[in-house]
Amino acid sequence: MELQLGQILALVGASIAVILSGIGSSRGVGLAGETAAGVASENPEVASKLLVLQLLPATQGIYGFLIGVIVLINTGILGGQMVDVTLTQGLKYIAGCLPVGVVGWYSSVQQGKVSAAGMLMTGKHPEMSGRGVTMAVMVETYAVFALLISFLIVNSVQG
Amino acid sequence: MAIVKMKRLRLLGMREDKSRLLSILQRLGCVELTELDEEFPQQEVIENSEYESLSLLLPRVRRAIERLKKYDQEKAPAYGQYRKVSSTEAEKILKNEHEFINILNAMDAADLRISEIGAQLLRIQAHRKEYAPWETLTHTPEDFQKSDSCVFICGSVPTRNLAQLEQEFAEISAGFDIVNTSSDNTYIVAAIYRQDEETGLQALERSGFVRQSFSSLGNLSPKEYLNSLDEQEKALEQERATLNASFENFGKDLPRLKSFHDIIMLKFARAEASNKTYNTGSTFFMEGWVPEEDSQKLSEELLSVAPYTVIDLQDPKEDEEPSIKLKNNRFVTAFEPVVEGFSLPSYRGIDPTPVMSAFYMILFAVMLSDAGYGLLMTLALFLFIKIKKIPVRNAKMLYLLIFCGAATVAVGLWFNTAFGISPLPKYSTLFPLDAVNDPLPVMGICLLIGIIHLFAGVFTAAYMDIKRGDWVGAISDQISWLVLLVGLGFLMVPSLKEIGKIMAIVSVVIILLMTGRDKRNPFKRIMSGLGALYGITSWVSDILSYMRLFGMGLATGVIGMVFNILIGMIWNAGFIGKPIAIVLFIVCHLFNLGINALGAYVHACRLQYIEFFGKFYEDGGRPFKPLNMQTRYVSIQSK
Repeated sequence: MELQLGQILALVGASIAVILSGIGSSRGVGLAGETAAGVASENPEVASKLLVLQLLPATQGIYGFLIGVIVLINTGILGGQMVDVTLTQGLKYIAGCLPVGVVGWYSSVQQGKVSAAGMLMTGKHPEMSGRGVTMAVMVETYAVFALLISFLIVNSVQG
Repeated sequence: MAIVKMKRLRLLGMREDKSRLLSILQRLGCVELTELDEEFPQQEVIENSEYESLSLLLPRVRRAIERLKKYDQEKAPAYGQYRKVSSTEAEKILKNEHEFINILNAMDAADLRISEIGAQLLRIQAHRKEYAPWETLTHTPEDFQKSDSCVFICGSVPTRNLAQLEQEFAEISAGFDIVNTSSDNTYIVAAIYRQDEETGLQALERSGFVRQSFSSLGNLSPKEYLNSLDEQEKALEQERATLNASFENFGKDLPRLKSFHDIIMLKFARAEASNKTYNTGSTFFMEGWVPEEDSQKLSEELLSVAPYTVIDLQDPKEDEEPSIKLKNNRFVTAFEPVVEGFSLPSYRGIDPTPVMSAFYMILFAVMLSDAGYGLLMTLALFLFIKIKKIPVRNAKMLYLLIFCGAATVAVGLWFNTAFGISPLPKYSTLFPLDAVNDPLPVMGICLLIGIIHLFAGVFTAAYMDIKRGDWVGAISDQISWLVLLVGLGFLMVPSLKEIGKIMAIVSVVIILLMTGRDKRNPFKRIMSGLGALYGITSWVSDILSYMRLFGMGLATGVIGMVFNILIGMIWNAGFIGKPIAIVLFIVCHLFNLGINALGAYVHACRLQYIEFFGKFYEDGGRPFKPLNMQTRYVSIQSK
């Protein structure tokens, strides 16, 4: 099957969304996980509270995956027949995938750091885990916004 | 109901009644004792001995219980479901205190012996390493001293110097036998004639010889000594195994040990409370907080056992900060952890839980937004608490999730998603909503929810001002803002434009003039008004923050949809695919439910904490911590 340039661009877009946000989330969750293990070894009772904090930077990867799959669905790669994608449409897909990829990457690394700091706080003051989660969620806001814009752009390409 | 009204309790009683009174206070669990004022002179505390002995015993028992953890057959008490210990049983256990002390002593002795054995085993290993190269030597140290004409010296020489040593020895009347070689060293027995002893020793020194004195051999040969080490090691290891096994026996006492721990824990709490009292020769005095609703019953109970007690109950003074106890109906109580996770309200503020609870439910529901997930969550948790008979005060979070799940069912139907499928046919623009193909109305609704939520926060602030009689504050700090925002909203609607203009101008003037109403200088006053008006930007960001409702809701729906598409492919891949698809469907949707319920929970908390609480909340209360029957492992029943 001969691929059009637009279709290739759409695939590149989907990859960007998944790859960048995935890298970020892996780093964020990894960072938080290291701290979680350290804190839990000192204070095993807070281990379950730490898991919530560790999971927070994971969402960006999911957002990226989400946008990636929407691109695949809209271009018909998932579900059989690939539809025509013009060059402009392909570029639009890339534009749409950039926010969730780039912001997802950066924000999950930052969120991982905040989560890790929140874990240290939780280790010392278990009753403050709620505050720690709130602090980490502050970072998440921008990933949610990026997801929104990505979704709106990607969804507006064909229709 | 909201923040429970507190009374200042002052109690003067007879010393002989003290322990009985403290027991009653503990059973009723409604008095928080406070430290006495500094006006009371320092006193040497007479009953300290009990406090001190308990403060040593308690951690010891806890350590013992931790030590026996692996023999524990009881499940850890969850959701307040403790094993019950009757009061007669508790008394019996307390009477047999020495028995438990014996157990503790025996455990400590066993542990001490185990660590001694560990040290001995390490020493044996070190010796074995030292003597292993000499294993083939069958002579005892005594054998080497039998000769009159020769000196025998054992030791190791770096192998590279061996040839040199041999050469030097050849020049005098000396020689050596090689016993063993390792990678670097050669172990030798050197024999030197007495007349050449000095030169021989010098030759040895030059070659880097290290003498082995065989100090621990006694009259054994190295071989025999190594054998005896093996025997010792075996015996020690056996002893250690026996000791370790004895802990399994101690483990049988674990349930009783736990009861014992909790009984002395209660006793310790009383001793601690007793430390907060002021004692004279025949009386004692104490202060504390008691909820107003319990104060009547408290006085009656106390006076019935100890009639010579004076109980004084006062409303808190202006400068006193009573501790905070929240009291709400069963629905609102479930949402208290959300407030506690932030900070308790100050005593003179208001309990935000009732206003917050309904909003929390809606925010959570919009973010999870899947009727199937909501139903699953609610049903599963509902069955769990019904089967386990858990009351709301012991598992507020579970109840919170049940309520939120129920709301999610309704919102999920409106958003037309259940397990990632759209079950409802398109009826109109607003029902059911279609977040994927027609996102604008959904985004509008999310922002509208946000505006209502924020307005509710401002109304609460106005209510607090009015309750304090500060009408001016309510109008200039809160109502004017509401009018301004509504006016700005009207400006966008052509038919209401004129009204909107008037509303906006009037409110801007009020804000400009009245925000700095405590300032005399008119210039400064206008400046603080301008500063407040700049706060309009924070309103914009606050409202936009509710876009996350749409984002999170979309994430749930689309991830579910994507799972369904992928699973659908497997389903269609023939006969083999069907069971795999079913398993995948369950696993994938549980995963999606889990991660999105967590997301909905934390983001709903954030919207409450930052956007909503920011508008009105006065926090900083201390939690009410009464002297009560709170235990760790079991529940001790009172008479």
